[in-house]
Order: sequence, then structure tokens, then C-alpha cells
Amino acid sequence: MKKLIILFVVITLVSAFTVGCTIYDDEQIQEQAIDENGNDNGDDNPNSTIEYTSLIADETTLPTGESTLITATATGEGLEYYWSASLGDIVGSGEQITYTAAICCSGSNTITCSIRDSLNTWKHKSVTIEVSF
Amino acid sequence: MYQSVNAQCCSAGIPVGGSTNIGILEKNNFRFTSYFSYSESAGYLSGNDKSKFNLVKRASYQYAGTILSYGLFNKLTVETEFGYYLDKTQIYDFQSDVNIKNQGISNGIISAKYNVLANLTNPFEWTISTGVKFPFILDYARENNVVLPRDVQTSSHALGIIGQSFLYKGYPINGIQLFLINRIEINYKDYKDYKFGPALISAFFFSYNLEQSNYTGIAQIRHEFRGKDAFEDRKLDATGGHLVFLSPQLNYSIEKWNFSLLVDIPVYRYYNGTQLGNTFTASFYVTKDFDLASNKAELPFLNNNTAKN
Repeated sequence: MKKLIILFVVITLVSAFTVGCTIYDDEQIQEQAIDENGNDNGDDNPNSTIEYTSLIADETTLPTGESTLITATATGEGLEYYWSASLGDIVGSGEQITYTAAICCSGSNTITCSIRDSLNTWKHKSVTIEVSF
Repeated sequence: MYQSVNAQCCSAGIPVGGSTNIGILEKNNFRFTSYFSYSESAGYLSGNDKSKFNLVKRASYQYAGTILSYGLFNKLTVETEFGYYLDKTQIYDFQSDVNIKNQGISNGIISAKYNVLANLTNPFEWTISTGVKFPFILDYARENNVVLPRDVQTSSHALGIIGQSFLYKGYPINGIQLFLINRIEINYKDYKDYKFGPALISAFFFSYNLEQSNYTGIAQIRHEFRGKDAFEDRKLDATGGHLVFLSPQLNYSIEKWNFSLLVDIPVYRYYNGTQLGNTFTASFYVTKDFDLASNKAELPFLNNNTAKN
């Protein structure tokens, strides 16, 4: 009984931790190509079909709690849009999202949109929004 | 007796260390605890005043947790805890309500409890514990390729350490027991350079065993201080604060089963900046003890049914 309990605990913890690490590795791939300033450092794969024209926020300064639309303009084959924000909330998905300046987080907040095409190549752009109380 | 730990920042939060079982177990004894919590937050506060600010109309979570405890020696118990968010939701107060939901595994905790002092004749006990909080998931959850807001993430994505002191004083003739628990949690940065603030929690429990019955009534008053979160080493103004909860609890024990129902009601809330306020948490616990050996109890609270949770 004692050995069974210990075995159960060990298997549970190891398997759950392994799953977590696998997810982490996959997500990291997308974000490694973004430099410290959030500029477009998409990979130089010559086969990439992505033409990433712009990433534009309707407002680049916001009081906390307010929202703005951010639009990614690109062409290519089978494009998928991946969004993340250093602080604040993103609502929506696809080419256009709504960014909301969370009340906790004044300062420069960076919103990044990474685009992947059907050949699994990536392009990245970021936009900075100044959030104030 | 249970102590839940509530909100970090603006949401219904993460019930880190969702339970604090009292004291330690006898050698070769095993305890299985399973619990369910529902928590809700609504309405913003600036300091301790209501704010007109309105972004998230309501936040809530449903959490199911498990705690496994094992008495390695009579004075040393090891424990592991993990849990799963069945639902973590934020409803935004936009022109039309926007609902953001998430579910997933939370953090795990591995800890060791050591009994420092025990007095059998004049029931008194002091037990200390230390542990590590670790994430099962290191990256942020996404939906439709969009990173979900931090307040609906189910993991802190970072390591943390926990220290705790447990003081017990019993009055067996009156069926009264008093407990004082002090707990500190320190969190480290996640890979995105976000760090939850430290937490200092003090809880005082008054436990009364109803005569000739299996019921125990417990009143808990708990103070939680949370320091400010930090992002890229910059402290975030509208995070952390002081909360005081009153938590009535009713236990029912039969043989080695224990059922417990409690509600956390905030009676004082002071938030740094403006934050979404927690309104209540309700929890239901089921505990089963397994005696894997024939050792007799040696510690005061283990000899008294009223103190078993």
C-alpha cells in the first residue's frame, strides 16, 4: 500500500511536469525571433510566403481601462495570427484584436503579432502602447 | 480546519496552498484530501473605497484540488498538493459582454512539516513547515492563438517557496481549541519576467466541538498581505494590498472521514491602486485518513477528534 501511494504521487508529478515542459518548448519557438525592441526579425526563410505589411494600433497612448483596436496587415498562404502582450489583455483573434490596458499596468506595453504561413515560416511585428493612469 | 489563500492582483486569483491541514500525521499514516472551491470577484476598489472604474464586470473560478499527506516519522509529515481549474472566467464590461474563459492545471506544492514542540499534559503544539511551489505549466495559455489575460491563467508559471508556522493550544475539558497559522510565500519570476508579489498570511482559528456530536464549529479570522507584483523589475502600482477574511466553517467527522464546508467573507479590503475586489469564496472538503500502521497517537491534537481537521 505504502509503495503504491508513493508510486502514484511520483508518476502524477513527473507526468504533469513533463506535459508542461513540452508546451513551453513549443511556444518558445514563436517568440525567440523577436528582438528586445519587438522589431520584425522574422526568419529569413526564402520560401516564406508572408508579406507582413504593418501592425497598427488606432491609439498609441491609452489611459488604464481603455481599449484600442490593433490591426495586422499581411498577405501569404494559410496565414495564422499569434498575439501576445507584455501587460494588459487581448480580446478577439485573427487579423484584428482589441487591446485593453489593464488597470495594474501603466507604462510602455508591447503587443506582438506573429504570423505563420502554411510552410511554417514566421514573421513578427510589435507595437508599443503607452498606458497611463 | 482549512485555510484558503485568495486573489493575486485583479482576478478571483489562484488558491495557492488551498488547504492548510493542521499539524502532522503519525508515522505511516496517510491522508487524502479532496476539495472544491468557488470564488467570485466583482466591483473595483481604490484603497478601501468603491471605485467607479469598470472593466471586468465579474471574475470567478471553480477549482478542484487534492492533497496527499504521509507521516514519514512521528514528527515529520510530507505533503503534496495539486489542483485543476475547472473554469476561470472574466466577463468584460464592454458594449456587449465579452467572456474570456480558461481551464487547466494549477501549481503544485511539495512540503515537509516538522513538529518542534508538543506537550501532552497541557495540550500545546508548535509545528513548522517549508515547501516549494512549482508550476506544471510554464507557458501562458492561449486561445485561438492569443495569449489569455494573466488573470485567467491557471498557473503562476514560476517557482515559489513557502514557510509556515502552526501553533495549537487545546482546552479538552471545554472542547475548545485555538490555532494560529502564519504563512509566507515568496514567488520568483516567470520566463516573461513577471513576478507575483510576496504574501504574508496570518490566520487565527477558534474551534468548538459540539457536545455528544460529530460536528465541530470553527471560526477563522485571517489577514492576508500581498506585496506588489513586478514586471521586468518594475513594481506594478495596482497590485497587492491587505485583506481580512472572516471564515465560518462546519465540520462533520465520522470514523476516519471528515467533511467540511466553509465560506470566506472579506470584512476588510485595502487594494493598492484600483483593483477588482474579491467578494466571497466557498469551499467543500472531504478528507479520509488511512492508518497504515498500528502506532498510537503521540501528539495532543491527534488524540482529540475535534482537532482532526
